Amino acid sequence: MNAHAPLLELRQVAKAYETAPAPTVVLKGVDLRVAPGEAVAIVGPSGCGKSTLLNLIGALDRPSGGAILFRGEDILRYSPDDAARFRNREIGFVLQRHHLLPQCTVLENVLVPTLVHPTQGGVRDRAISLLNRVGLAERIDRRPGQLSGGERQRVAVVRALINGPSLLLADEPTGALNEEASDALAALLIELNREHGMALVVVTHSVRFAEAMGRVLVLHDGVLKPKERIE
Amino acid sequence: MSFLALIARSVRFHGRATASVFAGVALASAVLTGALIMGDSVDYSLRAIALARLGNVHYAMETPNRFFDQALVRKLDARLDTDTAAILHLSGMAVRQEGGGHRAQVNQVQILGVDDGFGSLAGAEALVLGENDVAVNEKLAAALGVVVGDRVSLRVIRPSLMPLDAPLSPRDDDRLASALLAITAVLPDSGAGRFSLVSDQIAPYNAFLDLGRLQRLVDAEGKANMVLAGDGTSATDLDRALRIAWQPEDLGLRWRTDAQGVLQLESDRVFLDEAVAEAALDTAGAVGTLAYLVNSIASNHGTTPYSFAVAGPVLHDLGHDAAVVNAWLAEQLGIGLGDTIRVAYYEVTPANSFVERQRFFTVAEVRSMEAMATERDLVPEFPGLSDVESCRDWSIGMPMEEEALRDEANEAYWHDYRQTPKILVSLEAGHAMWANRFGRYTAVRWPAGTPPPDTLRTTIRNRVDPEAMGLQFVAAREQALQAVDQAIDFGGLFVGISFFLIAAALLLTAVLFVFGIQQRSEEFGILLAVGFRPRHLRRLILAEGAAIAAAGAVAGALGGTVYARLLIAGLRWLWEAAVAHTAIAYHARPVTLVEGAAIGFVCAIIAIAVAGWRHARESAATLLSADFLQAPAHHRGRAHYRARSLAPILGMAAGAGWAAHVLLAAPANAAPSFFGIGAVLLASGLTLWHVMIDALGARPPSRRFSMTTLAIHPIAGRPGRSTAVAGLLACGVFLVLSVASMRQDLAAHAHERSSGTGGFALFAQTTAPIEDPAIVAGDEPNVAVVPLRVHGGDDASCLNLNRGPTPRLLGVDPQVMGALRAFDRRDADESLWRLLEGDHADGVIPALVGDTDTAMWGLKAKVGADNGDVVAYRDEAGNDVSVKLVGTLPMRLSVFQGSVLVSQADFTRLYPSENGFRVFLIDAPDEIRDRVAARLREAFGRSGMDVVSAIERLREFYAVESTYLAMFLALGGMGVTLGSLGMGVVMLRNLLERRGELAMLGAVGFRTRDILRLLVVEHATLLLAAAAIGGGAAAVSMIPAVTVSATKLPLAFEAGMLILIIGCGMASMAVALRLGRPGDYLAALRDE
Repeated sequence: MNAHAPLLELRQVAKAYETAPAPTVVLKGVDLRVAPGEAVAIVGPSGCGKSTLLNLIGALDRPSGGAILFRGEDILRYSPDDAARFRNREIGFVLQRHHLLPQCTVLENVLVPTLVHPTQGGVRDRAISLLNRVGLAERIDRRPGQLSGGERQRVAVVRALINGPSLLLADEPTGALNEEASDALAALLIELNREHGMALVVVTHSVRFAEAMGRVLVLHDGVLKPKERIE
Repeated sequence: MSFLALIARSVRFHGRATASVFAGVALASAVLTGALIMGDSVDYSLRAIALARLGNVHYAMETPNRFFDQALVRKLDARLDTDTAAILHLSGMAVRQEGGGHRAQVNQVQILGVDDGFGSLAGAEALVLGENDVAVNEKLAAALGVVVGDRVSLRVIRPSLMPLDAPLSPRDDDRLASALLAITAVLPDSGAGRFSLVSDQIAPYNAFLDLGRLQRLVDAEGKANMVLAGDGTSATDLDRALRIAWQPEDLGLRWRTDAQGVLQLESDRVFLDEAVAEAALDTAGAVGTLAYLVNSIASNHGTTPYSFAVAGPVLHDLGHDAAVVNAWLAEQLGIGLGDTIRVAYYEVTPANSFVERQRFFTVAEVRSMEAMATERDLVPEFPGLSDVESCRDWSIGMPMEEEALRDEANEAYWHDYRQTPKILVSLEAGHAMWANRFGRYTAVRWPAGTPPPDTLRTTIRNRVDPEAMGLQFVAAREQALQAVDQAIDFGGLFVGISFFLIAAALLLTAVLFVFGIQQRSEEFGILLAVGFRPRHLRRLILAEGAAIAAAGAVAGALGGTVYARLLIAGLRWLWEAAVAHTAIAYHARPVTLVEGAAIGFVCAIIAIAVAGWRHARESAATLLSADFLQAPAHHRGRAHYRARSLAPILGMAAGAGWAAHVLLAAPANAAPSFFGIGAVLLASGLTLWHVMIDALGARPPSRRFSMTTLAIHPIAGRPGRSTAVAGLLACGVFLVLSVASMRQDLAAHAHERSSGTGGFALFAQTTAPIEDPAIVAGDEPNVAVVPLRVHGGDDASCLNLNRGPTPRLLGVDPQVMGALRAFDRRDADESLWRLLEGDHADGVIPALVGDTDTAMWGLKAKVGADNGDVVAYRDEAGNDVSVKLVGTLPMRLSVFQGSVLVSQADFTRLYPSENGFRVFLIDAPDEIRDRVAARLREAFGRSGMDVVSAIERLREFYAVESTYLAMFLALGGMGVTLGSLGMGVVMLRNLLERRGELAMLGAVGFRTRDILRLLVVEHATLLLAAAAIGGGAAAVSMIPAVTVSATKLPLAFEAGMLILIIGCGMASMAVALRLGRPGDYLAALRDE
């Protein structure tokens, strides 16, 4: 691993889907560098490929071309198992819908990522600590059905943080929340970014949320550009 | 837009969901309707067979062991406005002998001597039989391999006018009359060829001869034993006509007058019927007499063998221990008045053996030989005794010593005085010594000068009801159709066999319907939001379901005709043993289709209503919630679940207790209790499962959170759905394991006395009775024979599909069977056979049922009798007799299936004319078994003996049961397959509903195999829980039946079936996993 490399680097990443009569090109050549602890917002119109870009960064999908380097290592060379391990250790995902397991308690939902790959002990205490941090200390034995939308999404955030990721990917995390809950979640993500020193890449439609981030990028016509240049 | 239009558009728009529910209802309805059509088809076929075997015969009178004058039928015919026919119905064998020595013999052939009236009554108008002609039915022709023009040898059992077991009956070594006849017609089994009065769908072997020809062949000129009558009268009118028309001579009664003018009434049957004797003795001056052949008469000075003795014709004041001797005897024995003589005589036992008894008399009078002339003239004629020149030629049923027969003095007496009795005793003394089951009088006499025979004849005719001698007409056609109407309900049986398939289809329908409406939760929420009331929504859901169910039910009813045809094809090609190889014709009544559709519709609508009810109760907000499908059930505290689990735990304990009670205290109820115990255990097990998974969802957080708990928890997410799937599979496992447990390894315990073979090696049946069973055993060492008497009746075995009100009676010696402990429980303190012994003051005859299958299915289903019930029989004298079923041989299947067993003593009392023995249980070591069987076939071929190994006989019956089990397994297996399909559908649905969750798992680092492992563990848990619940219920409920009947469980087969079911479930799971693509996170994320 290259210690001087950025945490994340995308080089001319392209993505096209095979459709008839011609392939649909979503990403034409995305370049992106994210430093450790940096907070980046990606905005753009619906269907421009923001979520696709996050999936590629999180090794959930593979690009049609280009390279994705994490700490200087090409993640496209990972086997599916390596990719799963990479997501588990380095990446935290927060999606628009929380996808909490309804049969599990809040605490158990948070602990789910710790089940598949060996981790150091103390995860339970860490989970409780994180839940305490996000204001859900009183809710750890509740089930998702007994929580509000904002609370569920906060549980999803804690779940993303449980393994101490280097990079948190959030795909429209406030999309399904009301304004108040949305602002609170956005503030929480930013605070956590600062507290834990992890990089944060957020796809959002919320201007306020994007402006609160250190850098705002616009995905337009398959290319990622700084917001100022678009304007 | 109207409400109906909304329904129509919804049904059309949600085409896939509609189609799946439609298919489920159609399948359930098709199986149900098809099963009901099977009932129609079997009923139709049995009715056709019943009508075919009777033709135009509506009434019949049959007296198998009593022969009447053919002229009686002519007298009846003159009094009736209907066709009649006289038949001589005998049994025999048919033999085809080819030039090359290849021989075919068919036993148990009905030999029917028919007159001119038979053709039109039986539906064979063109039947004309000459002196050397015979017509056979198709079945006999096929068995012999003969066609018209071939010659066949008939061996007919000669009828004996007197009961052959009677002490003084002639012993005729050649009981068979043979004739070589040309086949002039082969009558169809679909018509007159099937003629029989027995309610059985299996065609008999029939050979038809001219009545006169058969009468001459068997030396029974002018005799018949069956009358047939056509329509246009009634059994009552026929009996009335019979009472008017009959004359004592028609039934073999004779009048004789001696030189002194003494008039005597005698019978061809040696002993007078009790009714006749009583009527005759009720006239003025009548004296009853009983003649007998005693073994010896001895004094202190000498002895004389085999002497005629007569009881009755003595002065009234002669003491019961006093005797009148003739002068010859007094001289021979050197006795005079006051001397004591010892009379030795044979007493005939119910087992047909002769036991010598003796009685002492004091000589009260020595009568001259001249004074004994009347007695000499009036001793009845005994064929085999009276008609031979020398004592050495005597041949009667009683055993006689050769040396005694050669006694010169006695030979000289016979030469000079013939049948002149040597001793006369009182009637009371005679009855005490010689009265037997055949009667108490050999004659009734009147002194000279009493009314002439014509007057007495009229008196007797007026006082004796022919019915008392077994002459009674029955409504044969009505009985035959009743037997069909009350036959096993095949519609119900096939519904039962198909039940699991129907239930599986309905459950699947319900699950699919719920999935359909779950998909439309938001749509329903919007309807509520725009002002629909919950009841509107319920109506909408129900109306949609009803529309689909109605269409499915109608389509299913039509599909049922195909299902029924497939079942009939299965019965023809695969499962022919289930209907005893009877050809079942397809027949569907229109009303059955309507019934099938209606029942299918109602069942479907209930399933749909129950399944859809919950959704109609949800609020608009809940239904509109994006998390509706993920919402957990409402959970409560631990105490709540503990309380809820109490009932199913008690239910399980009750089921186990019930099984223990049956096993220890009521083993006779083992088989009937099986389904009850199973149902209680299954219901309790599934309820407990539901409570457990519900409680799992409400459990307090655990410190141990693992992949396994993560895998199992989703089961709790949808407890109803999980229980439905587990229930379907558990029922399938229960059904298949239970049915598999019923498979018997017949050879496993065959050598044990407690088994269905009784431990006997061979089972033999003869067409002609054998009077002396000792000759069957022969001189073969280690071979022993237990003989049984047979009174033909209805076959209550699984081979007869009709109702049989009076099953075949077998007469056994309870002491012999008890000593062997044959067919008895090993661990019982007292022999079961003792139930048949003892006096029955109430006149009720105790009987044992042949096996538990006969008790449960044969009798209950066909005769309407259960253990402890009374079956009505009619004895030889025409009396109604109650035969009480006091027990059942404690095995599911025995060589006596379809029969009822009574003691020989009771048997011979009821049917004294049933000569000899026709069933033999034979003990023989394995190594000589086949040789013994071959010897018996050879030695008793002329008696029409069929010998099979006892196991083989069991297998004949078991073929029916095993075929039903195979059908049950096949249809149950289809149900299990459907259940597995349901599980696959549920799993697929779960995968689709949980795609987001699964994608999230992928996103947080779960590998595809981790996700697959979670899903496999989750659904395998469901599968194994179902197997445990179903298997546990099957195991406990089968314990009593299996233990009582000592069945050896086919554990390997059952394990195989269980593995197959679990394999089916796993395969279904694999397909669902493949279709659900749980590793395709991107698709799920894109769907967001």
